[in-house]
Amino acid sequence: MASFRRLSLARASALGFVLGLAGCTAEIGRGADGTGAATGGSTGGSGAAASGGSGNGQNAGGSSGNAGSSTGGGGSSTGGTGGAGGAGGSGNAGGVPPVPDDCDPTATTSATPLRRLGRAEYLNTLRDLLAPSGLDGEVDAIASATDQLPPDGENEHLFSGMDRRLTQRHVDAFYGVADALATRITEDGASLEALAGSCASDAEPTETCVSDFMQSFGARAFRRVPTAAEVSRYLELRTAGTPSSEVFRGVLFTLFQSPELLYHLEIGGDEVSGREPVYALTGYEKASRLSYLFWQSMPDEQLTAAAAAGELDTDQGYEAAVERVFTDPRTRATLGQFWGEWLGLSGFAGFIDSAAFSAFSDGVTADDALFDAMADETYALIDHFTWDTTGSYGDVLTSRLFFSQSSALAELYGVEAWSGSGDPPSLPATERSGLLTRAGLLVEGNAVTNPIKRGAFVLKQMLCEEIDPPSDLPPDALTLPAVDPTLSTRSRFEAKTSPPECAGCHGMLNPLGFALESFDALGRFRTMEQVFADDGELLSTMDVNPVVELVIGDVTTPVATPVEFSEAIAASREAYECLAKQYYRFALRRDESPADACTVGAIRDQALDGGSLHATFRSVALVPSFRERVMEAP
Amino acid sequence: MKIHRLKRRMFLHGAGGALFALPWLPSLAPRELHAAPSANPLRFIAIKSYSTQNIRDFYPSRAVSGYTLRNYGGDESGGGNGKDDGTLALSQALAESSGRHSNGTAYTGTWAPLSDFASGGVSRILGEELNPYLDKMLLLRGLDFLPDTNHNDGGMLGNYAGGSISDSASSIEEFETIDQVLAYSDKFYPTVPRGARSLHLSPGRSNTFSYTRSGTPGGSIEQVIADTNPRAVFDRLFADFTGGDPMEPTVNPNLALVDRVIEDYRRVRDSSKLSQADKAALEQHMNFMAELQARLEAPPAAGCTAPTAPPSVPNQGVDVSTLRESYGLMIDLMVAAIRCDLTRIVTLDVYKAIGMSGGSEAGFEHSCASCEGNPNPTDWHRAAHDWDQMDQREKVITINEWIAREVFLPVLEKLDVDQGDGTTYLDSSAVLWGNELGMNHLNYSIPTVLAGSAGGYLKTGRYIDYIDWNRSVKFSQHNGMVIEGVPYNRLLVTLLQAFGLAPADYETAAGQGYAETSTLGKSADAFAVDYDFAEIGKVLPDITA
Repeated sequence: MASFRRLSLARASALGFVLGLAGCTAEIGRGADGTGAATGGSTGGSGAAASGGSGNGQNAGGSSGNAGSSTGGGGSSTGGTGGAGGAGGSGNAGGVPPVPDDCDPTATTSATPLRRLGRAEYLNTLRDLLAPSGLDGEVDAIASATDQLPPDGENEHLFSGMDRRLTQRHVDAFYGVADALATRITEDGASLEALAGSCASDAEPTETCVSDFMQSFGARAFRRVPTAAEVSRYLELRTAGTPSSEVFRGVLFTLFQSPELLYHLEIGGDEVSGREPVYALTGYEKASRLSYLFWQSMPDEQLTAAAAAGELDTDQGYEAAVERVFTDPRTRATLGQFWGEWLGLSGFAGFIDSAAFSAFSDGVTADDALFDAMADETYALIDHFTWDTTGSYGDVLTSRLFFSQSSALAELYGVEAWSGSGDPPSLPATERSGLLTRAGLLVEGNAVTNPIKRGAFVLKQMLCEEIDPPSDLPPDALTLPAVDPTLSTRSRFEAKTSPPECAGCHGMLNPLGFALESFDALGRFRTMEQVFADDGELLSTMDVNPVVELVIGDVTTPVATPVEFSEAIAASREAYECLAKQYYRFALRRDESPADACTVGAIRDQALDGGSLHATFRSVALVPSFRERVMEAP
Repeated sequence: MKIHRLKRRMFLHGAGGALFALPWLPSLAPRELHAAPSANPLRFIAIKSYSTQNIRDFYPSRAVSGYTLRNYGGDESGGGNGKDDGTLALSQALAESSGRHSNGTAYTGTWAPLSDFASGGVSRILGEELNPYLDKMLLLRGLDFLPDTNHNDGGMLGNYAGGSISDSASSIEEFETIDQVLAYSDKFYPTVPRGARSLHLSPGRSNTFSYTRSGTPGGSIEQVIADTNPRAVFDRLFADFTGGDPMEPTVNPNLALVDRVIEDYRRVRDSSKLSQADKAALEQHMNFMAELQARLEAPPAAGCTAPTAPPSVPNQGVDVSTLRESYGLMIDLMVAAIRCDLTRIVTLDVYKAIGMSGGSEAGFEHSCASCEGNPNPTDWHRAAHDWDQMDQREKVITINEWIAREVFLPVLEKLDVDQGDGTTYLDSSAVLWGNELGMNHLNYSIPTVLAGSAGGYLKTGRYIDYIDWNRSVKFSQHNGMVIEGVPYNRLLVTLLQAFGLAPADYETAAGQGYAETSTLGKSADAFAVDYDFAEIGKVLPDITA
């Protein structure tokens, strides 16, 4: 899934405190029930994200490329994983998830604010609109106009889709794209005819020609059937003496900027009696919700036809549509974006060029290709358990399967590279297992690990534990403890964070990071830590101590190895709750509120107890509230 | 649709066939075409450097006859050295007092002509290459952020709310930054500019140090998004530029279509099935479309030529040559946009820069995701934390030397050209080079330098020190002191009034000035907070001509 690599947020940006902490007065333990963005921390402060690319790629908002890597694996197609069975847990095979015990099923869920199409959604929609006419390439041809679109998400949100800002630059860019695209298509007679039919080649278009165009192309742009009044309005552009190219230029220019295209409008349904301010969604609106959730683009012809036929208004028809949409290859790209943004598998600033690093890396070619291999391996692991098998989140957190064909990465792990077919090799049983022990999440850019950073990532990103940023820092509080040949990294950081005012937060952070000290800054397994001088001289070698007591929620677990660490994480309810929250935020593009406990809980319950990732990610579309819209209170 | 070319002057055939040229009258316009811009519009340019400056290398710190050089207590071992910061002591009192402390004691800042420090350059960072502009510059010391902010995005222009890491300062009130107050003020822009109300450039990242309501009173405040690629800036501002003949504005064929699009939004907005917030979002879209429409109608400036289209320089990495190219192009575009009156407000965010590391030029970024653990050539922010290490400190200093030499100076050079009446674009501008914080991660004495008099409003050519040196230093971090100067808010007020705004145009309460006025997060015993808040709504003492 190399295409998702250059998304906008790096892992460090979500942490808010990268350089070490002191003087912490955190409100700990809010985590699982806390609301608010997962990021927390000081925005724009230490460790804030590298800007990364804006990305205008196909489907997923990353750099251009195809959806997903090819895992091959068990040879199954991207479609049929068999995951429809929703193995294990409380999940219901393909049906509506049961209501979790810890929520009020009668509570009205949080409101759905009006949202514009995100950058990727907008560009995907334009391409898909024009694709039936063979004109989707026109969108790429106007790159100078589409490049004006501001990037989404380079702000306080973890997920770019949560960025709902509308600025003058957005509107200017929509105008520019509409102008450029409409002009380009209508200036070329063949393109215009391909789009609007042969009648568009007449000197002046007939009323029928324009009306038919609105009923077909216009309907697709609106993502519903236009009303007679709306068609009439567009017919006003057809005036005597106005040539076809100009008429259709005006129609396209207006359509490409219309609120029906640019916004996720859901105002076609009626208020549900007795449940104000809840509104039912029309079939077309359900179709749009599904397609934008899983494809980040408009409904396809089949989904639109299902809406038109009323199939999405029945549970059976809707659930069948969910299954088809979810198993479409485009969903793979969208979920790849979710993982990439959640895990921060982008924004890696590269490896340091120093004598110390050269000595430390000891023959490893640390370059972009190596990091790419690390990121791809992470995606491949997740993909395998999502698409190739009926795998669970627990599998992802504990698996020792190695899906990389990179010999460099394989050497880093001490295994043989995978051939790309057949059973993948397994990582050494005593060294590492699962997602959190993979190099893509462990790698630093230099020769020294930062256990605080690693611990904070696990605590905040993977366990969704909210910690307030530190306050009243004394001087030099954010200075990392200097490398000392007589002290291990763990010892240095233990000393740095030993003041009583630090214990509240660091008591939670440190063990998570120290447990991962079994891996060096390249992600290599180690039992001994080497300390290098700036000139590369080896100063000392000392034992690594990864033994900790992990405190996750109310459970304390002694952990002596990385494998035990992964097992402890995988055994925690918090890990699944966090997966559910993060996916909710990504899918619904907003932070959850207490009113959404049933939705979040449904996702969580699908993932617990070995539930398939397939069912987990599908479940958000199957909860009843997904087929309704709650209007914000006036 | 036919395109009607509109003449700026309408010619009448008089008796005998003679032609009489009528002046351009707004009443002759078929729609809201705008009057020609007045002569010498004022411009505001803000350049932001990150973390801070090393005090001794930013302010005059070399022996100069007639001035006392303060002792330097040294900072190699960490800790502060209080008033022994090695800078030159000024002796001339300002003509206006800064106010009174709570004990009734009045205090006054000091000043000196910048020209007194020209020999060898004002400082290491403000080197000799800036000497030709000293008479147009104002070097300011002792401007203090009031709330306890740390790294922040908007503080330099008045929004202290972003990025604070102090619990008690978490309730800092958000404010639009002053560039946005100006951008949407009828006094600053009597007519809608043809290009953009404000242009935000950053070869480093797309978040800016500007926060805006986009002209919507009571609207939410959002962080402005910058352009990171000079080619995108050019395409937006100059691709369809018809500059050259000011007598031949063209009517954009899309104008009537834009009317229809706005009407479509109005119909949707009127739906009873949308919340007030949803309606407001659509109205905002409509407002932006109307702004765009007005911009499409604005005539081009006289005698303006579009620059050559630059190459695309995507925002990636910290390669030295790429950074140098990108900044050069951005500065050229900035100046061209100003000279063509496409905009009168520009911010330039120096989030990535060039400095020296290990004796060689290196690219730096202020916050690097993988730069923890070891000193790293690319991590500017990390270097600003390792102040005890001379090689790290040197990185920060050389970065700012580069900014002075290759960002600030070129802006002054390119603006300091005749705008047709013997004055220069720089004379009609205020170029603010500011910083994210004071020394060292303190929010006291934010290093600030201005260039340009904003049309004669500012009394330039001076170094003004607003620090009350008679006060005790609460504490120091390296050679940064916690000691009262004057609230930074007064610089914001100064700039707002320099550009023609009155307090009623920006104050939320009479006498409040602008930006957060409380010292949230700072206890009186630990921090210097004894300012004269009765003066906070006033311009800086003795700064106006």
